[in-house]
Amino acid sequence: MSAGASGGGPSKAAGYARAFLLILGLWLVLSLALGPLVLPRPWAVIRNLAGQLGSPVFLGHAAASVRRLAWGLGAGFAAAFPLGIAMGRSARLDAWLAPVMFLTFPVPKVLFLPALLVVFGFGEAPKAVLVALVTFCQILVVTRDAARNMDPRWEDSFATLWPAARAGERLARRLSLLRHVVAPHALPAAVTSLRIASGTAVSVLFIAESFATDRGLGFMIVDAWGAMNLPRMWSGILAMGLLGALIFEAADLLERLLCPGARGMAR
Amino acid sequence: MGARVTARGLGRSYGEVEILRDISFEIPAGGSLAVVGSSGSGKTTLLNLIAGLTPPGAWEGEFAVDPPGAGRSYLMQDCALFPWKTVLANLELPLALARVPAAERRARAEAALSELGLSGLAGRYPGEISGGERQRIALARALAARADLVVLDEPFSAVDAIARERLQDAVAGLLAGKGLTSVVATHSIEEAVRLGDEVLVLGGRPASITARFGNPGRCGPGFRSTEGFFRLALAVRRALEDA
Repeated sequence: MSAGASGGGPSKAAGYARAFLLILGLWLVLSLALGPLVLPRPWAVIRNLAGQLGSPVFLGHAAASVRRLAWGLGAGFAAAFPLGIAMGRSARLDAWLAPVMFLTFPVPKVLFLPALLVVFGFGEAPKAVLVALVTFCQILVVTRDAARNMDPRWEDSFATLWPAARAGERLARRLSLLRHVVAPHALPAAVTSLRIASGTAVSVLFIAESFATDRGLGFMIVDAWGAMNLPRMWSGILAMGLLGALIFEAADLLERLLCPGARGMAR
Repeated sequence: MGARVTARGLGRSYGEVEILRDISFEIPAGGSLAVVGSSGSGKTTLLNLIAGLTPPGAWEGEFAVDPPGAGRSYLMQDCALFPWKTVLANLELPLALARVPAAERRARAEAALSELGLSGLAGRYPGEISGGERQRIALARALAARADLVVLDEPFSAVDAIARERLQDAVAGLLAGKGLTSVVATHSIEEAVRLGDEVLVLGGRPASITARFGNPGRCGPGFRSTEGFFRLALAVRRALEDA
């Protein structure tokens, strides 16, 4: 994480403003080329979205999507991080679970949506579980590798701090090593993975909200598409894009909060 | 209070590969030993053994630290401080592991930082401070943990020449002032001569002691500018070339 990347502040805001203007410019060019019936003008969509911000219906859709993403990302991270650490540090556990991980990792998790609907019904659970599944797999692989490939000298460094009076407490020593060395060492990689997974999670959520639900930004987009209400459809797309960007930024903030010393972590 | 360290006929192998052979030395409580040798000459293997990282029974010969429960602190070359912990948290870690109450460990850590003039760095992360400051903080951690034996592996390799000399003087003064026993491994002949009451030269395959030099004058005033310093440095250099 470079200082510039982690910095935030005016330069980052200016960068976002430039990117936003560039996207608007491209959008306008495409809209002029395709015609407003196919791709509405950007200001029409922005005006439409701004008009909906006070609408309880729109806010309900947005809240449902945010809730599902938060649960899914949180649960995926909470399950994958400790398991990844355990796999990275236990050769026996890794021998059992790593082949399962490698076999299932390339399978698109969205394929399980119908099965999740059958198992969990049509409520909130299958959407959040699908997001959690995507997040879980990405974070598991990265955390396991970070724990496994840690420079052994960090372990030696910790070993020199362990008091001679507790030399016989092997379990306590192992748990302390995990807490003070392995977990904080793997955390920056896991949080970066969460940040990357958040983009995939929004895509997966859109698909999950396209089925068997009447709430969420994904539903709003598909519903407006079916009604050929293009400004509303594009408002939903814009809102979902902004949600993805916000979650990406939130993960960046989380990384800075949880891993403040990450700049010194060369290994 | 420093620990007394005794090694007689020490040897260490990794499988079929013999790394160290017949290493003998004695460091009195409060004394210091400097070990020099080319890269791959077994210095770090010897330091790992002295620091307690090598499991008992994994070496040949006799090795003893007296008192047996003496606290050891190992300032490793690049991994002395954990980059994900603040300076203060790094200092408190060995105390937390030793179950020292929170208030006492905070007080001891702050006192050690203050003693080395590093109080201003308490809230910083190791990645935000210089290499020299990191080594001094690692030394402050040894003080906070009340180590009896301090083991230093290439302690100032990441520091510029002038700062290096200042740090050597500061560390030598601090260790002597506290009466702590120390072992330092270094590539630098001047550093070995400045820091060791005795200087061992390692060489050969497997590594053994090819020369040893007493250094009684090292604590005298202005030692670095004396003829004795240059004579000894020259003698160590010749021994290294022959090794």
